[in-house]
Parts: sequence; C-alpha cells; structure tokens
Amino acid sequence: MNDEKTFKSDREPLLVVKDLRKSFGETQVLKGVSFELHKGEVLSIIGPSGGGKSTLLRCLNFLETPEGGTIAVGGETLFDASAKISDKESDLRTKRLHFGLVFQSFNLFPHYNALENVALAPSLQGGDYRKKRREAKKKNAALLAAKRRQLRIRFFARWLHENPFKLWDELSAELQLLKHELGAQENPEAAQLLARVGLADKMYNYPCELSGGQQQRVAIARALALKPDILCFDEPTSALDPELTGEVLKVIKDLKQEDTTMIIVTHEMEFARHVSDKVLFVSGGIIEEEGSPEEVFGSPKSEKTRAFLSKMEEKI
Amino acid sequence: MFAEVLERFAEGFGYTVGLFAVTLVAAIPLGIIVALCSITKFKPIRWLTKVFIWVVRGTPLLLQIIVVTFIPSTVFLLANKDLADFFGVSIVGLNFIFAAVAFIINYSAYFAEIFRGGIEGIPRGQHEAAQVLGMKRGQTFFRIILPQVVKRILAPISNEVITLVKDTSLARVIGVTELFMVAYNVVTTEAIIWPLFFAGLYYLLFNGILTILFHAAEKKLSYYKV
Repeated sequence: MNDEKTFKSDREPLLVVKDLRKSFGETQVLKGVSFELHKGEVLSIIGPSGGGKSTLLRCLNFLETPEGGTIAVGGETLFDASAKISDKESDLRTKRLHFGLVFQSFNLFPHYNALENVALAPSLQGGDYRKKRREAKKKNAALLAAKRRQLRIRFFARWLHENPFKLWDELSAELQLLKHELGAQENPEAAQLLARVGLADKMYNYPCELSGGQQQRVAIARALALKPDILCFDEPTSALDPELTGEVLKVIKDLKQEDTTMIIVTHEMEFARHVSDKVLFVSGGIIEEEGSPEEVFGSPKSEKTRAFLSKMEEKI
Repeated sequence: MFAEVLERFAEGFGYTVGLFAVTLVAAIPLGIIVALCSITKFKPIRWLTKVFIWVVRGTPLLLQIIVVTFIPSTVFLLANKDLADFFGVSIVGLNFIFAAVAFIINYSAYFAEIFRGGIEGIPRGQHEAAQVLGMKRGQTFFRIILPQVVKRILAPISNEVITLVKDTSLARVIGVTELFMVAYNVVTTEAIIWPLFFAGLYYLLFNGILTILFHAAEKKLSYYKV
C-alpha cells in the first residue's frame, strides 16, 4: 500500500495548477493557488464559505476566466494567463472536456428524462458514438413504425366500442413503453452509467419525478458520460436533505474504488477524511494548509484550519 | 339573405385567417431573431433593437399599417399599380401584402419581448451545465434553452395570438376585405345590424378553437416541470 502511494507521487502529476488568481471587481477571490493532483487520486477542498473553493472549481472548468496562473492537464497547458492562448469557443470546448463538473444544484435538463440527460452530450460530440447511435436509431425506426401501424389498426377497430380518449391514452402508453426499451438499446453506455449509479429502474423518469439524491446521481452519470480525466464536485450534497446525502456519497466512494481522479469541494468533513488522498484547506483565497487527511484533520498546523475544524465539530 | 351573407363572410374570413396565419408563421421566427438581437453582447445591435421595439410597441398598429402602405410610393417612388404587377397580384392582394408586412413587424416586436423574458428566465445553471458538457452555443440554445422557453412562454404567447385574431380587423383601413370589413359593408348597404354580431361569432369561435389548441399544447408539455 505504502509503496503504491510513493509510486503514484513519483509519476508526472495529472493536474498542475500554478498561482491561480481571480477577482470579481475589487474583491480578490483567489490570491494565487497552486497544487498538483495525480491520476487516481481524490482531492478534497474544504474551508469556510466565500473562501474561493467554488471559484477554484469553476476556473478549472473554464466557467470563469482567471486573471493569472496556469492550468495544465497531462503535461498540456490548457490555460496560461501570461501567454496568449487561444480563447476560441471551439478550443475552449475541447479543453473543458478534460474536466467534468457536478453542480450543487444538479442542473439537470428538466425536459429530458434521466437517460436522455446522460446520453445527450456524448451524442452531440459526434464521431463514433454518434454514428453507432444513428445506426441503432435507423434499425429501431422500422420497429417503431410497425408498432404504430399495429396500434392504429387496434384504435380504429375499437374506438366506437369504448371510450376513445381512454383507449388513445392506453395505446400511447404502450408505444411509450416500446420507445423506452429502444432508447436503452440506442444508448447502451448511458444506460450502463445509470445502472452504475443505481438508477437502472429510473432511466425514463424526468428530473421532477426524482428525489434530490437521485437527481444528483443522474448528474454524476451525466458528467461521467464524457469520460473526463478529472471529475469535479461542487458541494454535491449541500442541496440535499440529510437522509439523502448517503446515497450520493456512496456513489462517489464507488468511483474512488474504480480509481477515478476527483476533486471534491465539500462540507462533509467525515466524508472528506475517509475518501480523500489529499486535502486542501482554502480560506481567504489562498491554500492555508494542505496534506493527507490525517495531517489536516488530525494535526492541523494552521490556526485558521484548527478554528474552522473545531467550529465544524461543534455543529455535530 | 342569410345565404348571401354566409357566402360573403366566407371570403372575408379567408382573408382574416390568411392574415393571421401569415403573421404567425413569419413573426415567431422573426421574433426569436429580434429577441436574440436584444440580448446580444454587441451593444450597437442591442441598442438598435431596443429602439425598434420601443417604436413598434409605442405606436398604434393602425398607424403602422398606413405607414407601410405609403412607404413604396413616397420613399421609393413606386406606383402601387406597378408594384402589384411586379408581384402578380391585384390591388387588393397588394394591400393584403402591405397589411401582412405591418402585422409581421408589429407582432415580431411583441413576440420578441416575450421570448426575451423566457430566455432570460432560464437559470444560469442550465447554460453552465451545457457548457461543462462541451455543447456548442447553437446546441445549447436549440436543445436546452429553447424547449424550456417554449413551455414558459406558452401562456403569454396564447394571449398575443388571440389578440392577433382580433387585430386582423384593422387591415380594413387599407381596404383588405377581411371579415369585419365585409360585415360592415353588409350592414351599411343592406341596413341590417345582425351581420356585425354574426361576424363577432366568427371571431369568438376562432378564438375558442385556438384556446383549446393552446390548452392541449400546455397539457402536452406538462410532462416536466421547470
């Protein structure tokens, strides 16, 4: 175990962030943040509200443009404030795909069901996925047309004998069922991802029909669908009822088992302590303290960290 | 008498429905474009669009119809007769085109404001989620934003559409023989009053059908909540 860890840190880091700076108007939110992350590691970022944790994540995902510093993934510099790196929309898009982001407020697309939420982005990326999906769709279109024909015949055979509105609803429900079945066939990867987060039976539910925890799990599957190098979580359980946080945290733990590289901004101290390989305490726009969970939680060096941690403990 | 009125009404109602349909089909896409122009980051366009909306919404539609009618002859010095020949229509047909242009411009401004409200009402998180998932701007707009906007604006749009049905009667000011003009002509020439109310019944029924359609659309979109 120990040997493996040293081996990990000997390799080139996957993510290198150097001296990241960002201000909104007069307020400096990030005052030079630098850290490294290796492949397969989990990094937790803790700290008081307004300390710059979320801004840091948003900078990594290119939702905000930093004023200073560099971001490099796998040796490739994605962002360098001092050099003029292309900020064309198309370039930005490819850079973003190195990162996935799970939002505090889920931000699922309400007009798509869970499966469509997960499958949409990969299908818009084009390439192989799109081609496969189109072929599957073509094959299924014939099936659907045949079903429609059959239902139409049944409708006209029976609509004078029973309530036509009810009959119509009944038959459309049957068509919907087939559509669902074919939907999973057309998007096998998305269906698999949803099964992985434990939502195989909720694939065709719309976000408004899901609980907060289920919505957040769909959001995680959606972020995974693009196979990002690093998956970021922005307080993934803060908008959830306490009894629902467990199911989301369990999914994140499972992801760690599969060696997913993750950055997690969280207020769940116990969780951060157990799941992370590395913890950053960010406050006032700088990294106050960094180290292994044992170091940061067990014997914090910084006064601020100690004060924050004891405050969090008081809450419990 | 009744049969004769019915016959004349049929033609008038044809113009009414025609003007309604043409306006709707053209003003909605135009309204989307105007709405996008009014929220673009490029300031001169945004400013121009705001002025356009201000002028169009701030002056009577009746005046706009008349202005559109007079523009070719006063600004471009084109006789209406030549213009009608050019388009291959009669003078009445040309007037119909003038009215349609005025209606399209007017309604695109109203629709644009509704669309703008709808687009700006979509939470930032939806844009951000789409961005993070690597979607292009067009993809984000058409796949994520627009479908949600449609649901949000259905009620205000239905209001506007129902107003449009009744507003078509303004086209008579430039001699488009739409339903109301036909009815009024019957009233003045035959010295009877009931065709006026009968025409009202046409509008009422037409709007009744539209109300049912909008209700059905709302129901169809009720499978999700925003």
